[in-house]
Parts: sequence; structure tokens; C-alpha cells
Amino acid sequence: MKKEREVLLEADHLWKSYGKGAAKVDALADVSLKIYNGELLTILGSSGSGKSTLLNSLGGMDKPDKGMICCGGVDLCQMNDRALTSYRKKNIGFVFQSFNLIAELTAKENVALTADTSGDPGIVEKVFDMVGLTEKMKNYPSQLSGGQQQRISIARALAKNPALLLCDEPTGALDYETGKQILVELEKLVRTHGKTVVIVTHTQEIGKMSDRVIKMRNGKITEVVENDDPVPAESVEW
Amino acid sequence: MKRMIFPVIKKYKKLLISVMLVSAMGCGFMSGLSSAYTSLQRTLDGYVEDYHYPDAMITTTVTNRNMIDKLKQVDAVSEINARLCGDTYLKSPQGRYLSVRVFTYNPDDSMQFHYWSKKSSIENEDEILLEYNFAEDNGISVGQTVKIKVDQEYREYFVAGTVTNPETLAVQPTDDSWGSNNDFGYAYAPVSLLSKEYEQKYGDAKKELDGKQEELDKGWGETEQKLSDAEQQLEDAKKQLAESKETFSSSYQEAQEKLTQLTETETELNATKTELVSKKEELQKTKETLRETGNKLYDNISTLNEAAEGIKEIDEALETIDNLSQLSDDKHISRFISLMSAYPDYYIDDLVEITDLMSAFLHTAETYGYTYDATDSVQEISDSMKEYMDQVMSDKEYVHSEQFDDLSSISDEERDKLTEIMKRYDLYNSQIPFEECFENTKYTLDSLADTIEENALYSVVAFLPEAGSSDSLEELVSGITTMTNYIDTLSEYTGETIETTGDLASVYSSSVGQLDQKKTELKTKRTEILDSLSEYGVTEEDLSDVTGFVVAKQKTINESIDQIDEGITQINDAMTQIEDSLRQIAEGRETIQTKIEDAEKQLTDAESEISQNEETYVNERSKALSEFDNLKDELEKAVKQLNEGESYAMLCNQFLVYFKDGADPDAALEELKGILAGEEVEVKSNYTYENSAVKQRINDNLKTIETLSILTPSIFFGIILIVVFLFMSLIIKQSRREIGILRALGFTKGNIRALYCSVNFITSLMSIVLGTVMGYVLMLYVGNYFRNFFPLFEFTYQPNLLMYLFSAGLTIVVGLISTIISTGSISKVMPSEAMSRPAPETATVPKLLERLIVKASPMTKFSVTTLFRNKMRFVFSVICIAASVMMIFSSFAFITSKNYMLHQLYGERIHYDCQIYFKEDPDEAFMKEMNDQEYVRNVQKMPFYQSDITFKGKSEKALINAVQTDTELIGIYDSSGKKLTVPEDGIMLERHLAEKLGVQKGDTVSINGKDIRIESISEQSIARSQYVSYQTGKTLGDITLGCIICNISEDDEQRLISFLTKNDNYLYSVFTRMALQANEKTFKTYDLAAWIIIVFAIIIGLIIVINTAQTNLLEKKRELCVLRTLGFQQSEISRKWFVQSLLQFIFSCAVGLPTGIVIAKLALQKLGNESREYIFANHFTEYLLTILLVLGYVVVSHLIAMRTMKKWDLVESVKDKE
Repeated sequence: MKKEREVLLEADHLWKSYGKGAAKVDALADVSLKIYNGELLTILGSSGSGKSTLLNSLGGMDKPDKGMICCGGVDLCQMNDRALTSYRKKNIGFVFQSFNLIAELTAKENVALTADTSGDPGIVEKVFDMVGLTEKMKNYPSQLSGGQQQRISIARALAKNPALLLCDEPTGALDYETGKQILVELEKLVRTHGKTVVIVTHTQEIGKMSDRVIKMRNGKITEVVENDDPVPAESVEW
Repeated sequence: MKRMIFPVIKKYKKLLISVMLVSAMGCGFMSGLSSAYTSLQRTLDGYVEDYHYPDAMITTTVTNRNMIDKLKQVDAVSEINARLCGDTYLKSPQGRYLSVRVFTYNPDDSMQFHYWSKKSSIENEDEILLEYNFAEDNGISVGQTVKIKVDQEYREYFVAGTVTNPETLAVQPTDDSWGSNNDFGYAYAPVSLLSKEYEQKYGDAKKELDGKQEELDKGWGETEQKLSDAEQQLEDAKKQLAESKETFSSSYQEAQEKLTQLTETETELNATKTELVSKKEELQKTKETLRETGNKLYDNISTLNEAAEGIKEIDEALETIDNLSQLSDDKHISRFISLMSAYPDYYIDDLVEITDLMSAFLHTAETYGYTYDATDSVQEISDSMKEYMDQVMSDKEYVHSEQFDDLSSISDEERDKLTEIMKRYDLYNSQIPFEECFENTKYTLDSLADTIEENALYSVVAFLPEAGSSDSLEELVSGITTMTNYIDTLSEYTGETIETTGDLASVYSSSVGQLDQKKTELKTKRTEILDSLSEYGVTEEDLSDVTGFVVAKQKTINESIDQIDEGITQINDAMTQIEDSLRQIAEGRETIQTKIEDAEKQLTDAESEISQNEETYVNERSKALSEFDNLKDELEKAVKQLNEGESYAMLCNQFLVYFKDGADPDAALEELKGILAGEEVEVKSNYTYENSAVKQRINDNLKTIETLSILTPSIFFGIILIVVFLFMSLIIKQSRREIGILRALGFTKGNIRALYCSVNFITSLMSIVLGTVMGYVLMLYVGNYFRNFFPLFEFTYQPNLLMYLFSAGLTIVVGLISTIISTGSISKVMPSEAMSRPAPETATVPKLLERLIVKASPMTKFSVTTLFRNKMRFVFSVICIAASVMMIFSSFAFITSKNYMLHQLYGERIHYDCQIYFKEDPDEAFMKEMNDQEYVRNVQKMPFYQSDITFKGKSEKALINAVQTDTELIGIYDSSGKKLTVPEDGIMLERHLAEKLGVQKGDTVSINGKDIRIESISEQSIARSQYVSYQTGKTLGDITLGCIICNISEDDEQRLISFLTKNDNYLYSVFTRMALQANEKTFKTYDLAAWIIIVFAIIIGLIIVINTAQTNLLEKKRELCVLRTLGFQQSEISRKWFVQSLLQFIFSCAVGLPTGIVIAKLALQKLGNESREYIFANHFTEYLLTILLVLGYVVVSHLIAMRTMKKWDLVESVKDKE
């Protein structure tokens, strides 16, 4: 059944290291993985395990030293900066741990920044509807709570209708309740709207709501867990 | 804490380098420019001090140096120096002909000029020293040989050295020169160079002396003759005086007699005058009376009219009475009255009617055959009438008989009888048919019968004889007619109705008897009325037309009054004549007395004059003798000097006078002039160097340089203060976190402030080192430019230690002040806040801008909002860039304005290539010769007149040029740029002079006492000449300087000079081309200042723009990286980010350009002086160039920022920083 799933992105033997000589650290050491369309994937790992490096490589923000990342038949590793930017614009939605909203713009403007690539003029309102913050559209980030900011961040990522949503510790800067709300939102995106979402986290419990969990340590994938019966986000506790 | 200093420096090295650069520039400019200025000033001070500037300069005709001894006798004089100077021509090694003023150089003089020269004296006769700038400008070096025109030929001289002389500052052709003149210069030569020229002149002088000797002898003879003539004249005068005394005494007697006569005449005239006065009074009274009478007549005209009416009525009544009396006397009346008295019952009307009937019937009957005798009595007529009437009645009856109804059947008898009847009544006519005559007769008889019956004529005929027993009927009829008239008159008179004869009798008897009495009464009343009118002067005749009378009377009165007035006038005239006569008499008396007194005085004066003349004669005689002896001595001495060949080296024509301290220079000069009275003297006196034109000119130039040297760096420091503040604020803003940590660790605000002050202090120290080096280089560089202003061949560079210290101090102080101000924000940083992640903050943009960007993309809004996030920074950066814009623009504007001024002068005003000066106005022959030179075009005269122009007591010295009115060689324009023509009559004034004098077009000014109308006012801004036509020029007096203007190509310039130097009248030439070059050379310093400012402005602007752009970028690094992460291309972000720079640019230009215009105008106004005025030339190019330059560095800074952005690590940047 799983073989029938459409591969959205495929990473093959990725290597990435920082520093030189004795200080050399392999952030990614021969990492290979596939991301399927419409799945909720969680990458688990402790600090320094290489999970964020992997996420950045998949999102076209960082280039691995070796290996290949295929998306639609094109290798990201061969792309120049301009092509990578274009790739990010068209395919990837980012949700950051610290939201990274632009303080000078209203919630709506933050979202509208990326909306033009979607080709849907009503997308901004739609994504606000999806994250349930229509009434906060005119507020500035400073006027919103952390959870609201993260939801706006998700809305911004969704506004360009990306193929893949990459979330780097989306609950890291939030309290438990708010974090849970965010997870619910992300789950909804996958389950209801058919989006593909990759969550990078060090919170093991979040893996329970995913279709798949990839565990990493010292730059390597140590385990890939297929979760045939993911629990609803609402039930996840940590 | 000290350990923190270098980490901070390291962290903010880029910003601190900017601070250091900016501060170093300020320090460098201030120390460099001020050192260059003080070096220049010191050089000049030393230069002028060594020059030993004289207090007064007296130029005379060539005289002898021995004169110094005489001049030194004047108390106020401390020292006198003399030299010989003259103008000649020099031919340079390059073959250029130059005008040169040669001064003799005499090392033996006790007080010679100490020229700035490497070679301080001339050792050989063929050596000369040239003025440094003159030599340099014309490419003549020391050691070369030049030719100098001496005594009509060019001799070779060796240039032994160059000297400088401050006087060259003041040797421009004129004070208002339109260009410096490097074809004219000074040279210092052995006296022989000039004195050779005077050899000939001294030869001539010898001849002149001999001539003078001869003239003196001759003169003495003439003087002796004059003296003896004077003696003779004195004798004659004495004789004349004695004669005059005699004449005076006889004249005195005559005059006394005449005075007596005059007194008598005066008495007579006074008596006549009294008479005339009383007569005049009388006439006045009469006039008054007449006027009253006239008024009275007018007032009582109604009374007069009433009186006239009364008289008229009385006269009518009297006439009636007279008529009655007359009628009463008529015989008929008396007879009828008595007759009527017997028949009182007859109605008078009936009687009249009967009489009329009777009379009428008589007349009718007379027509039909009745005849009577008028003389018959009434009774006889009555009887005959009765008979006739009977006949008529009987005949009527007969003709009406039946048988006559048909006349054809009547008998002849009857026909005859009828014929008889017809004949009786004169009705038969055999020519008329019988029947017709019959009918006519029948009708007539019927009429007569009817009349008789109707009027009861039988009764009348019976009554008449009874009523009147008149002799005849006619008398009766006449009596009755008279009686009826009488009755009417009587009835009218009495008012009684008279109808019957009885009435008549009664009225007659009662009234006729009183007629005379009545008449008498009426006459009496009439007389009374006439008497009452006599007071008005009215006679009976006048009453017929009272109004006419009054008018006539009034007219007469008026005529009388006129006559009286005339009389009074005559009296007045007579009195005036008398007064005149009296006055004349008084005057005559006075004249006679004055004449007597005058004559007496004249006599006395003549006496005294004669005695005085006698004395003068004696004195003059002795003086003339003594003068003659002196002149003779002097002549002998002069001849002796000449003959002994006293050295030409002693010749001089210029005395340089030095006064003692506290002396009155004016008085001293007058005394000196008195001693030099025999020479033609021209005095140029300033009394001290401080007041001299040279000092003035040096000061003018120094003022400009000082302004540039002190003001510019001061402005720079002002800007630097803002820049340093801005940068230190940036550093502190970026160090909030560190400050927070330090505060959390327990450091006080003072500690932290000291940290940043230390950082700044170290930066300032580095700035000072760099600035000092920059300043020294600048001083050397600028110094060379300053030399263009002054004839200095050496510049004593001496860094101004004080200014260096001051600049260093200022750099530190400015840096510290800026730092202290900017660290004010430290107190706002709370330790806790600094330790935590700063809360996201929103920024607001100005409302106007917000409206503009409301529809812009979020990216654009982000970019704009970021710019305004730190308003203070935005404002300061805009101020700094605006200052940069302002400085660039104003400097460009200044360069353009300066070029515009040169263009105005050389492009618009001067259309000639050469201006040639002459001692005197060149004659027509020379002008023709000039014109004939094939290479000379458009030759015109342009003589100079220096004169005072006066208007309403205000006077200004002015330079006036006389030119051809239709000249194309000079362009003159009015304030609107319209070309003006030189007026035929009148004068064209330059605006500044017109303003000084307060005159306008159409006013009349006075030049040398001649009134001249101002025809137009020109706008020249420089070379403020007034223009007149040649014709008007001639009326202005003597020409100050002869001048010709012409066009000539550059290649022919030397041919022209070669031609001109043959003419002794020629002074020097100024070629427009070279004047322009010289001016441009002088302006180089201004250009330098402008470019210094531009460079400073660009550097400041660039540093500011780059740093603010970098800071803004760094502050938004995270957001920008997020955008990149979200897929925005670098170029896309770059475009939107550039909006920031663009806005800064727009705001800066909006503030900077208008400020630049104002500053440029102020600077131009400040730099302008009396002879040069800068007009703000506003060209599109400056705006464009400024905008492009500023835009250029805005773009550069943006590109640098974008380059920085490209290097960012996206992954690291978007991470939540710890």
C-alpha cells in the first residue's frame, strides 16, 4: 500500500559537515529518505542530531556537501542560489520555532507577502479561515499572542499553496496548550486539506500524531517508524 | 570595564572607522586651511613689513635728489627717499613686447626698499631686477637677457634677479579694472637706464637755462621800467588828488544849495497833499449822498407812481371842467337850455330821435323830387314838408287806382297824368319801358308813404316848430348834436343822469355855477402833489414815466459816482506822485549826502592809497631787486650744476615720505608741496600702510580667504557633530543587549557612558593623527593656490600649532559631546529588558507617506516602515545628506556663478580683443595710422574720464568712458538683459552708482559743474563704467586717460605692440584673451574651495548613506533572511529595499536644494565686493549634477548593502538567537 504513495521529495546519501580537522562535525552522514505526498512526517532527534540541517537541506536553505535531493526530477544540490530561491518560493512553506513574522507588517500583510505565487487571489482570506484568525488580520505581530503568531506563520506558509510544509520546532517557543493548538492546526492541514507536513522536533510525543517518524542521532537516521494508527493531535501530551 | 573597550572597538570597527574618517576630515580641514591662511598672512605681514611702505608718495617732474635736504626741513618728516621712475617697453626673450615701469635702484640710499629678492643689489650697469609675478607670467627667468627701450632704442639687460613688491597689487590699469594686466610690470634698474633718457632732456634744460638767463636780464629791464612807470604814476596820482580836492569843495557848495531847494519843494508838496486829502473827503461825502438819493428813489418808486396817477386824474377833471365851460358858452346850448327849461317834460332822447327822423326824411325826400331851402326856418320847412307828404299820399292813392292794373288799356290822359307824377318824383325815363317806370314809381311812393306813416312824420313835422324855433333846420340839428355832447359831459362830470329837458335845466343850474371853485380846488391839490415830489427832485414832466425817470436818474447818479471815483483816483495818483516826489527828494538828499560822504572818503582813501602805494613801491622795488638777485643766483647755480655735469644718478621724480609719529600729515604735505612749488606735483598719500589701497586690496582678498579658511571648517565641524552623534547612536542602539548585560552585572550608567566615551576618545585620537597629516598636506596644497592672489614668490609654510591644537581639541570635544548625547539612551535600557528577547515593535510612518504606501506591496511597506523605525536616525541622516546636497549644490552654483560672471564680462560685455592705453587722447593722424594697419579691425576710441558725479549734494567718484554710440565692441545691458545704446546726449549710469547717488533715469546730475541728464541705467555687476558719447565726453573736461579699443587676432598681437611702442604717447595694452586667463588663474582658489567643499560633502554624504543603509539592513537581517527563505529573490528584495534610499534621497534633496540656493546666494553676496558682484546663476546643470551625484552615492551605498546581504547565512539568520 505504501509503495503506491507518490514521492514528493527524495533525499539520497546526504552528507554535510561543519568545521575542520578534529573539530569537524558531521551534521548529516549519509542520510537518505523519501517524503510522500499528503503525509505528516516527524523528524525526531536531540539537539545536534542533524534534524534541522536535514530540514534546511530539504527546504533548499542549505546545500549538503554531498548527495542528492530530488524534487520533481530536479536535483536541488545542483541548483544555484536563484534557482533554490525559486524552488523555495514555489514548493516550500516554512514554519519557524520563533515565528519570524515581520513586525512592521500586519498579520494580513505578513501572509500576503507570499500569496502571489498561489495564483488564487482569495487565498489570504482562505488561509486565515483555515487557521481561524480572520478577526486578527489587521493586527500587528506585537499585538498577537505566541500561538496566534505561530498560526499566522502557518498561514503565511500556506498562502503560497506549497507542496511541502516544513516546521522547525513549531511548538518550541510556545506553552503546552498553545503548542497543542498548533499541532491540531498542522494535523488539520494534512488530514483535511491534504497537505504534506514535515515537523522537526525533539518532543517524542509529537511523533505519535504522525504518519511516519524518522529518528536521528549524530547526523544519521537511526530509525524510521511507520505509524499506521496515528493518534489525534488533541490527544498528544508531553 | 577597560577590557570592554577594545572588544567594542572591534565589534563596531566599520562605524568607528567612519567616525574617524569624518572627524579626521574636520580636523584636517580646520588645521590645514587655517594653517594655510595663517601662513599666508604671516608671509604677507613679513613681506609688507620688509617693504617699508611710505606714508606718502609725491611724484614730480624730474628734479634733483638734493631736493630731499630741503624737504627734510619740514618738521613732520622723519625720512625721505627718492627715486627716478619712468615707463618704457621691454622685449622678452620670447620676443614679446611688454610695458614696464622702471624704478631706479640705488643701493647707496640711506633708506632704500628692502625688496624680497634673492639678489639684493645690482652690481653692473647692464643688470636689472624684474618684479617676480611679471617675470613669471611672461616666462622670463633670472639669468636671461631682455631688451629694454632706452632713448628710442632697445638695449640688452641681464635679468639679475626677481623681486616682489606689494605695490604691484595696486598697479592694475584702473581700480575698477576688468582684468589683471600681466603685460605691465615693474623693473628695478641702474639709474643710468632712465637717466640716459633724460640726457637729451638735460641738454634741453641747459638751453632752457640759458634762455631763462636771457629772459631774466630782459625781465629785469622790464621790471625797472615798470618801477619807474609806477613812480610816475604815483606822482600823477598825487596831482590828481589835489585837483580832486578843489573840485570837491565847489561841488559841496552846489550840493548844499540843491538840498535847500529840495526842502522848499518838499514843503509845497506837503501843502498840496493836505488840500487833496480834504478834497478827496468831500468827494467821498458827495458820492455817499448820491448813492443815498439813488437808493431813496428806488425805495419810493411806488409813491412816485401814485403821485403821477393823482396828477393825471386831476388833469382829466380839469379838462372836463374846461370842456363844460367851453360848451356852456356855445350859443346853441344857452339857447337850448333856456328853451328846454320851458318844456321840462321832453325826453331829450325823443327830441334827438325826432330831429334825426326829420333830417333823415328830408334827405330821402330830396332824392324823390322834394326841394327846400336850408336857410328857411323850421316852421317853413315844416310846412313845405307837410305839403310834400300830402302830395305823396295823394299820388300813392292815385297810382294804386284799378285802371292802372292794365296800363295798355289806359287813356293817353291817364298816361300823361301818370307821366307827370313819375316826373314829379324824378322817376320817369323815356329810355325805360313805361310799365317799368310806373312800377318803380309805385314802389317808391309806397316806401315813402310807409316811412311817413311808420314814423308819424306828420306829428314830427307838427312838433318840431313847436320844440325849436330855430332859424333853420340845420341849426336845429347842429344845436341838438352839441346839446347831446354837452349833456354827456355834464352827466359825466356831475354823475347825474340827464334824460329830460327838466333834468338838464336842473343839473345845469346846480353845477355850472360851482365849476370855477372846483377847478381852483383841483389846481391847489395838484400843486401840493408836485410840491411833495420836489424832495425827490421830480418835476411835472418826469411824472409821465416814473420808472424811466428813476432809471435815468440812477444812471445819472452812477455816472456822477463814477466821475467822483475818477476824481478820487486822480487825487490818489496826484498824491502818489507827490509821495514819489517826496521820496525822490529824500533819496536825492541821501544821494547827495552819500556822494558827499563818498567823495570825502574817496579823497581820504586816495590819500591813504597814494601813501600806501608809495610804501609798496619802495618795498616792491627792494623785493624785485632781491628776487632778481636770487633768481640770478639760482640760475647761476643751475647752470653751474649742469656745467659741472652733476651725476644723473641724482635725478629723481618720486619722493617717498615717512612722517614722524603724531605728525599732521595733511599740513606736512601742504608744506612739502610748497617747497616743490616749482614742479608739477602729484601726491598719492595714504599716510600709513594701514590706510593704503594696497592694504585695502590685500585685506579684501584676505577677507575672502579667511572666510573660506575658518567658516568652511566650522560648518564642517557642525556637520561632523551630527554625523558622529548619528554613528555613536547607531553603535549604542546596536549595543543594547551588551549594555543590558553590563547593567545587569552592576555597572552604572556612568561606567557605561565612560566606556563609549573611551571608545570615541580613542577614535578621536586616531582622527587627530590622520587629520593632522591631512591638514599638513592640505596646507601645502592650498598655499600654492593662495599665491595666485598675491605677488609672492616664496610662501613661508608654518603649520599653525595653535590651530592644530584647537582642531585636535575640537575633534575630541565634538566626539565626546556627540557620544555623551547619544549615550543618553542608555538610561532607557533596563537590565531585564536587555537580557530578554526584545519584543517585536511596530513602527509608524508619516501619515502622508502612509497614504502613499497604502496600496503598495507589503514588501515596499516593510522597506519604508523600516526606514522610519528610528525616526531620530532618519532625521539626522536626512539632515546630513541634505547638508551634503546643500554643499555640493552651493559649490556648483558658485562655480557656475563665477563662470557666469566671467562670461558676462568676456562674452557679453567685451567684444574687443585689445584695449590700448595712452597718456593723452591719440590724435586723428594716429587713429588713421592705426586704422591703416592691415591686422587691426574695428578701431574705436574710448577715452577715460575720472570725475565726481553730483546729485542733490551727494557726490561719488566715477569712471566715465566716452564711446561711439552705435559701438558693437561693448555690450551694455539693462537689468532685464535688454541691450542698451549709449545716448547721444546725456549719460548712461551704472546701477550701483545710480543707487549710491539715489538717482533715476531722467534725473539730472552734475559733472564738473555741467548738468547732464541720465538717459539710461545699465547693469554691469563688474567694471562699473558710465558711458557717454564722444560729443558729451568733450564737455566733461580733460581726458584722464586716452584709450583705444580694437579687434585683432592673437597672432598679430606682437605686431601691434611693436607698432605701438614707437609712439611716445603709448602706455600699455591689455589683451582680453590674457586678462581672461589672468582672471581664471585668480579664480582657481575659489574653485579649489568649491571643490574642497564638494569632496567633503561627497565623502560625508557617502559615509552617512553607506552607514545608515548598512545599519538599517543589519537591523532587519533576520526579517530579510526570512523573506529570502520564503522565496524572495535577492534582486526583488533589493528593488524594494532601494525605496528606502530613494526616500532618503528625495527628502534630502527637498531640504538640501532650497538650503543650497539660500547658502549659495549668501556666499556669493559675502564674496562679492565693490568691484565685483556675483550674480546667482541658476542653471539646470547644477541641479542635475547635484542630484546625480547624490543619487550616485545613494545607489553605491545600496549596492554595498545588497552585497552584504548576499553574504548572509540564511539558516543562521532565521534561527532564534541566543
